[in-house]
Amino acid sequence: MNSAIDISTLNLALSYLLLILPLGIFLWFKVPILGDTAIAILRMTVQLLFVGFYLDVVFTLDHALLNGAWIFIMIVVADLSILRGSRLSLRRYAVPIFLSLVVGTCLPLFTFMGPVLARPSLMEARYLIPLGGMILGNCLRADIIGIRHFFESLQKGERTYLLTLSQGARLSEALRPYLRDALQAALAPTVATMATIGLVSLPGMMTGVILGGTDPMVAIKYQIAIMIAIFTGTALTVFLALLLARPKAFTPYGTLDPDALR
Amino acid sequence: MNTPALDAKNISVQFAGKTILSNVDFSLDSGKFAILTGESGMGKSTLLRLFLGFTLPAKGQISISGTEMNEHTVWELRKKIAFVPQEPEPGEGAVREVVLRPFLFQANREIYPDPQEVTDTLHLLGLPSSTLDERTSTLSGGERQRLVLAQALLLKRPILLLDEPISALDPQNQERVFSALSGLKERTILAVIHNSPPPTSTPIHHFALTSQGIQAIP
Repeated sequence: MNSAIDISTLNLALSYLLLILPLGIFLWFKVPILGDTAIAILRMTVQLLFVGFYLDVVFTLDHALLNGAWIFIMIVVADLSILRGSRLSLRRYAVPIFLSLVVGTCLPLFTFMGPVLARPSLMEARYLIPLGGMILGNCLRADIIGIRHFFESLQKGERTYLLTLSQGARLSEALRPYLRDALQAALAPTVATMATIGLVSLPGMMTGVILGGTDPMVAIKYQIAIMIAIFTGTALTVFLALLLARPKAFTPYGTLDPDALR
Repeated sequence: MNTPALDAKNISVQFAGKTILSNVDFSLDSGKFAILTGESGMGKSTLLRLFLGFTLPAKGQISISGTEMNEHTVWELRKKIAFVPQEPEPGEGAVREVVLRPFLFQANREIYPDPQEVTDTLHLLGLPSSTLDERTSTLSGGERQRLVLAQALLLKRPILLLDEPISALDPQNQERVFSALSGLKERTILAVIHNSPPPTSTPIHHFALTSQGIQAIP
């Protein structure tokens, strides 16, 4: 198998020159995200360098426990990002969101690792970590959209919600429309991506596999499997996050707890 | 002595550091039709929310038909009450579907009304059958009020709590709604209103909420 050609440090540095264009546009129009962009570029570089070095070690050692620990750390970081992005209190929601991410990531991930790839080990670093990262990254994005949508639409529609409670709805019945809308909002981007994949863009995984020197037909099989894993993972995560966060967001009287959100 | 349908004992409510109600007592016997008047901001709507468990008192006790409200009883107690909030938002959708939404809840499935009963109730409140073909977003404030009131009547709950139920209605429809309400048998009705009520065939008890508490007006 041919592997992707290496990029020398100097050549990679040259790619940063491209940034002159967007930064120049920002400066010209005084778009107030110049500082944020600079920090984002710096963070991306440092984080990826760190991950590159770390993955080098992880791939060389390829120890099940170490690989599992890396997935665990990724889930904890995703958990914290979701709590920050959804304005949820850390103390209240860290555990429910963490559990939803564990199930939403691990179930499709190990289905991919086990029955689909049929590798001798379920914990092989070369597959486990990139596939886990792709599923988790999508779960994170969907969770933030879903949770924010759920609480925002509930706050906006509080009068309708309370009317529903007064009409005899149980908590689950009164929350059903908000849950449905949140799931739809969270999953719509993945559905749209699935519907246009290959036509509008070549997805990251497929590109990666092709650059790695693999036959495009093999790349497509990987892409189909990962899309199914991502869709299942995001749907499961958002559903479980809302389900598990629910008891902590409402008073025993069914009203939205004013301390539920930061 | 009859157990009151609605009973508030020594209630105080605070919200964001501000006292809304202070040591208020109120009681309404079963089967009575009462109106509660008072200046805006005195806590009339808060009193209704207390009976629904949407607002919790800092002090005092709320009872519905003799059962004290707490986190365990509130869900059952709400099934005795139908509520029409001020400027109600019945939810998006076709009126035909929205009016029947409460009857999809487990608690109300057994009293799912037939189409004739729905149109009869709408007519009683001055809404034509064609309202069913509209969407809730196109209804006026007064039509939305009467739509939610129709839901409340179809729910056949023994207690009706109404927050400004006629505020958006013209005098003719105000009279029509009050006449429909006073015609209901064995229902306890508490309506918060800010203007004088239209004439009805049955006597209406009048209470006023002031800074001194709730007093019966002869």
